[in-house]
Amino acid sequence: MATHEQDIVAVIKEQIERFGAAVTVTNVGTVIEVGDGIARVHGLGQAAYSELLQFPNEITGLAFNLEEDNVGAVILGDTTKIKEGDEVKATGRVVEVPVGDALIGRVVDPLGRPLDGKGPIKSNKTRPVERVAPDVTKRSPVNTPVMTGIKAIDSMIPIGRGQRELIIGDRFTGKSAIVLDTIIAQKGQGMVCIYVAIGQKTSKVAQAIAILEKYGAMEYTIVVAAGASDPAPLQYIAPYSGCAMGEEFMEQGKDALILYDDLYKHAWAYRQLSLLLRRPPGREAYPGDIFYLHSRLLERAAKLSPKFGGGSLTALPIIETQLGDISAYIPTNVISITDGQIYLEPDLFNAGIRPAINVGLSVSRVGGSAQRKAMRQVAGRLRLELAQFRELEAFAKFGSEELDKATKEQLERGKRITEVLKQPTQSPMSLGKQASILYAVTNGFLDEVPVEKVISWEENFHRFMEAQHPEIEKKINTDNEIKPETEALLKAAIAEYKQQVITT
Amino acid sequence: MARFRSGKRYAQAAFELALERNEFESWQEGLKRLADLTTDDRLMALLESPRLPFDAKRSLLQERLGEINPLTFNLALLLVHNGSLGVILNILQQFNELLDAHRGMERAKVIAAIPLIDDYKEKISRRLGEIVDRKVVIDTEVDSSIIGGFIARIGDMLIDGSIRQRLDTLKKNLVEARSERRPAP
Repeated sequence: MATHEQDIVAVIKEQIERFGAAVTVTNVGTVIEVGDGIARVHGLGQAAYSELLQFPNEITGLAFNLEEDNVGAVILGDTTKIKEGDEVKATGRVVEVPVGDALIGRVVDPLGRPLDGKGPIKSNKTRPVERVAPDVTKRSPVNTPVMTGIKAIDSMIPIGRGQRELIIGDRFTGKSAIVLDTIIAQKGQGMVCIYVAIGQKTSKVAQAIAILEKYGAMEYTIVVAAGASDPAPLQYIAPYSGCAMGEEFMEQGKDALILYDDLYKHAWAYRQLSLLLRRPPGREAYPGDIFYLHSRLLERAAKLSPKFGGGSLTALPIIETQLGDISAYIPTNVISITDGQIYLEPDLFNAGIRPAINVGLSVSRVGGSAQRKAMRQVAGRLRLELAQFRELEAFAKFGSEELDKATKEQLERGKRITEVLKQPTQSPMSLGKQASILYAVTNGFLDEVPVEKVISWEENFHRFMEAQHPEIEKKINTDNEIKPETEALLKAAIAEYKQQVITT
Repeated sequence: MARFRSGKRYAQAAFELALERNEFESWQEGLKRLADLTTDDRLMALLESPRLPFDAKRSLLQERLGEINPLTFNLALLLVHNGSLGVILNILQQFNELLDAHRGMERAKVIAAIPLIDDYKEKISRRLGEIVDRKVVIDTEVDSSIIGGFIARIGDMLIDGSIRQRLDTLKKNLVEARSERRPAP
């Protein structure tokens, strides 16, 4: 405790020495109107755009509209504590958030203030929330995968470190589930995950945190939450705060994953602020710079070149569509910014295909370069086979006697692949496991298994492999490819399992 | 939320007219009388009512204002015509500011913990004048909560040399130092 007191003594000493010199000169203004989360301030002639303004009662705001004789500010806090005539100071700073390892495992608000009741955030570094994205010379191509642990994604719509992949679908189609599963799958992969909840129900955020804690994911995750009842300005800066935290890790050479849940509500918050500040409304009443709102956010996700540390920030934004309309304004904007999308359909979800991914409409523009060789070896033809299967599915209704052998085989194979791609939530699979089962199904080893038994076949297969041949999964995980000798072992193991299944 | 309306343009026009004819006092007097009228709610209701014909409003104004600079009266009519009479207070304020600036003068508000003697007022006025490079006229106010020193506000600039501010900063620094060193619970 001696050091504790000495530090205070040192601070007082310094203050006493400098006491005579502390006359501050600040730029000020007066509040002339306040309400709805915004305030108009007369004065502040020197205020800069997006400058942080200090209101009374420790409330801060952002200078949003710079007009001839007043400044329109958005309040990052409770507007009820501000009244007309209050003095507003310009701080000369921009909005900053604490960054660094001190935030890992914590739940914070968009200004970095703790929400989990575990004490103050002890970070000595802050970063501005808005930043220019790294330019072309600082980047390098995406070449390492982010393993989501979900077979359908890792095989056909692979995500790489530094990529932006949009997860888009109607409500209750499993978007947040994919996102949480991806976070859980990052255990032991050396990634820091940042989950930004924008405009979500607080109960949903609490549930998500509980799931992450259950699977030990909070050890490497930061949660930034701006719930539905939080003021719109906080919802507006939440994604940028999370991004600033992610950039800190990226520039340290580490890999970070950031998930924005969801950007539609972010757009709504920004629209609310813009309309209240009387910015001219455009299409669907969104302001003219709604594209820039998302593009500057998503462009900050990148893979840096080795000269700059080789770190990466992968972004997985979520957009909730209404009635499957992916050609609405905001979805089309974000689709054109991201490097691909994962499209979830309610029809597939209701038909029991979960994750409800529409493989035809989903794409990853990074593709194979972000896949390990093992996955490329087994998943190469998967997309094509599934596409052909879907085309033929209509014929399945006619009954199989009228079809030729090749078509029948394709149908049967397709059905089994669909069954194999189904996966329960919160059960991520390693590369080795995924490669094993996909190898089995694409090479016809499941052709004799009845379709309705495929899922249990797979479950028992994995259990069998874990018990009898754990070295195969391990080998694939370490080699990152299926070497010929591993393939031979795998074939033998599958044969052994099938034998076992027949005899039981 | 209703849009904040500024009388800046009107004030600038009025100022230029006053400047051309060197009629500052007359304009100031007139604007002040006009501003006083706006406190009368019933009169304002009549002047803003669309049902009353313009000539009736003109005679009403003539009656209530009496002797006034004819251009100032025209301004009043213009405002009534545009339905912007409510902005007159702002116009007066801006006009006074423009006049001050024209005279190379700036107004400052100084808050001190105790009433200031003239010698101090003189000194502060001079020092502030050096900072803004103009002649500064100060209006003083007493607020014992600042404990000591003074706070000066000139336009957009706030110069805070109060003891209260320094104590607040000291408190903030100490709290930060303490929270950094405290071991995690």
